[in-house]
Amino acid sequence: MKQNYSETIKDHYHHPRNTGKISDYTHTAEQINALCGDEIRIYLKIVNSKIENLSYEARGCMIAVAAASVVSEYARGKKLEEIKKLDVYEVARLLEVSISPARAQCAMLFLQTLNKI
Amino acid sequence: MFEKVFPILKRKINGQRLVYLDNASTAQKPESVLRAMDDFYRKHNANTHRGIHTLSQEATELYEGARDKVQKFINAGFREEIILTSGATEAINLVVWTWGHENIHAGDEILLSEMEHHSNIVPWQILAKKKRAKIKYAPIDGNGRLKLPSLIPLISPRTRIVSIAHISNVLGTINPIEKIIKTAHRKGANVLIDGAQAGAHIPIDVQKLDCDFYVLSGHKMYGPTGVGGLYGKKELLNLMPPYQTGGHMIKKVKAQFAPRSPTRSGSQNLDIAWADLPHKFEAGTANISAVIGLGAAIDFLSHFPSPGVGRVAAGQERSKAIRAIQNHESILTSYALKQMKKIPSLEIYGPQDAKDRIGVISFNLKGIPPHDLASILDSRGIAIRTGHHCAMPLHDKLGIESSARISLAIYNTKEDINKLTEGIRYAQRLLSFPRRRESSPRSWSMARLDARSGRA
Repeated sequence: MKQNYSETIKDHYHHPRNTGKISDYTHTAEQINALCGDEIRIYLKIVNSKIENLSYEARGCMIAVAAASVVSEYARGKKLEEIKKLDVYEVARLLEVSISPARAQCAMLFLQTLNKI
Repeated sequence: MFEKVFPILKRKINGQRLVYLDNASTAQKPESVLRAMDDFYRKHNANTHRGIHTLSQEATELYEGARDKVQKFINAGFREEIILTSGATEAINLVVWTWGHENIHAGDEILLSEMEHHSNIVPWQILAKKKRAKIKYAPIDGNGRLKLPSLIPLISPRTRIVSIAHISNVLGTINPIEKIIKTAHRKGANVLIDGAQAGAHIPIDVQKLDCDFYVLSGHKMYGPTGVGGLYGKKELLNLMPPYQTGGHMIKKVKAQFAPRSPTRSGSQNLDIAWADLPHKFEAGTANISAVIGLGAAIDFLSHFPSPGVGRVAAGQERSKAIRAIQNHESILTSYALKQMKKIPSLEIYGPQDAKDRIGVISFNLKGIPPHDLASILDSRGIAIRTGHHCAMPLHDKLGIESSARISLAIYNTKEDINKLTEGIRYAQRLLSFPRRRESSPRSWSMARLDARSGRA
C-alpha cells in the first residue's frame, strides 16, 4: 500500500495551484463538508462545454486541498462532463496515494462541488 | 488493568494497541454494562409496566431500578423527577418544546453561553424564532472560562431561562454553575444545566445545585447509546404538557378527542388524562435494555475502582468513587497538558492548567489540519476527534474552523499520553513540507470564503 501522505499531497497542500477567483468565470458553486467543516468555492469558465479556465478558494484538510489542486490542473481544457465522471480512485491516482473510505469525502470535495454545476 | 473490565481495549487498531482518546464523544463500555443488557434480553425480556406475567414484572423492576440508580447518582429528591430519554439531546428538546413552549413568549430572553454544544443552542434558536424571543450568549474569556461579572448583567427581568453546560465539550472547562443558578433564581429565571460531559467525571448533586433541569447522557458515562436522563423539579414537571404522546403516558383515552383536551397535566378533563410523573414524559416502549445498561454503568461508576456489580452504592461510597475518578483524571490531565505544551507549534484552547477542568483538551498544530493529524494517529491505533465538535459558534469565537480534541477517561494512562505525543511528533515530521518559504498553510488563510456563510 502506498503511503497515505505522498509528496504530491504535501506539495499541493502547501502550494496549491489555481487558487483564487478568476474574473471571467461563467459558473460557480460552493460546498461545505458538514463532517469537518471544510469549505470550497469553485469558479469555472466554460466555453462550448469545455473547461477553459478554473480556480477555487478552499479551506480544509490536506487531502481536500491537494485533491482540489491536482484535479484543477487535470481538468483544464477538458470537457466538463468528462471531469464530472472522475471517481475517488482517479483522484487517488492523481494524488499518488490510496484513499481510505474515511477520507473519500475529503478527496471528493472538489468534484462534488463541480457536480453541482 | 482495564483490558479485563473494558473488552474493547484488547482490540488492535492497524496492528497497534488501541489508545482511545475520544471519550467525550462516547466512552467505552465495561463488561458489567454489556452483561446487564445481554442478561435482560436472554432472561427477562418483556415490555414494562403492562404485563401481569413474571417477565414483565422483572423487566419493570429492572427498568425502574435503573431510574432509582440515576436518582441516587445525582441526588434528586424524588424518583419521579427522573425522566428517562433517548439521550441528552432529547432531554433538552423535551424541556424546550414543553416548558419552553409554555413559558417563553415574544420579547422574552434565553441566556446561553458561547461554549454550548449545538444541542443546547439549536432547539432554543428554533423556539426563539417561533416565539419571537431573544437569545443572548454569555461570553468566554481568553482562558475559555465563563466569568460571572460578564454573565450576570446578561440576566435581565425578561430572561426566562439560563441554559448552560456544566462542562464544555471542547474546552473541558467546569463552569461555576452554583453561582449562576443562584443569581438566575434571584432574578427570576429558571436554569437548565447540560451535564452531558459531567456525568462520568465529577460529582453531581441536583438538590445542592438547586437547578431546575439537569440533563445526562448515558453513553458518555460508560452506558450504552440511546439513553439519557432529564432531571426536573417535580413542581415544574407537573405543570409541563407531555412531550410525545401515545402509549405508556396516558391514563385514559376516548375515541373522540375532545377539543377541550388539556395541554397541561393539571387540567381536569373527562376524556383524556395523562399518566403521572415520570411516565407522562415516557411515551412508547422505552429503550429498556439501554436503560438497564445505564443502571449498570452507574453501579460501575459508583463503586470505582472496585467492580461492585449489581449493588447500589451508599451515598458515601458513591462520592468516594467519583472522587477517585476525578483524582485519576486530574493527574492525567495535568500530565497531558504538560507533555502537549512541550510540542512546538501546538496550541491548546481553553484553560492551560488542570484546575476546574476535566481531561477534554482541544488543540491545533500549525501547518497540519486536524483531520490529517487524526488520520496519522489512527494509523498508530490512537483515536481522537477532529472537527468543530458540534460547537461551531465556539470555534467562530476562537477564530478557527476546526480543532483536534483528546478526551480522557478512567482507563487512560500516562502511557496513552506518551503514545499520543509521539504520534503528534511523528505527524509533524511526516506532513511538514519545508520547501520554499515558510510552510504556513496558505490554503487556510487564502480563502476569502466567509466562514459564517450558510451556517446556523
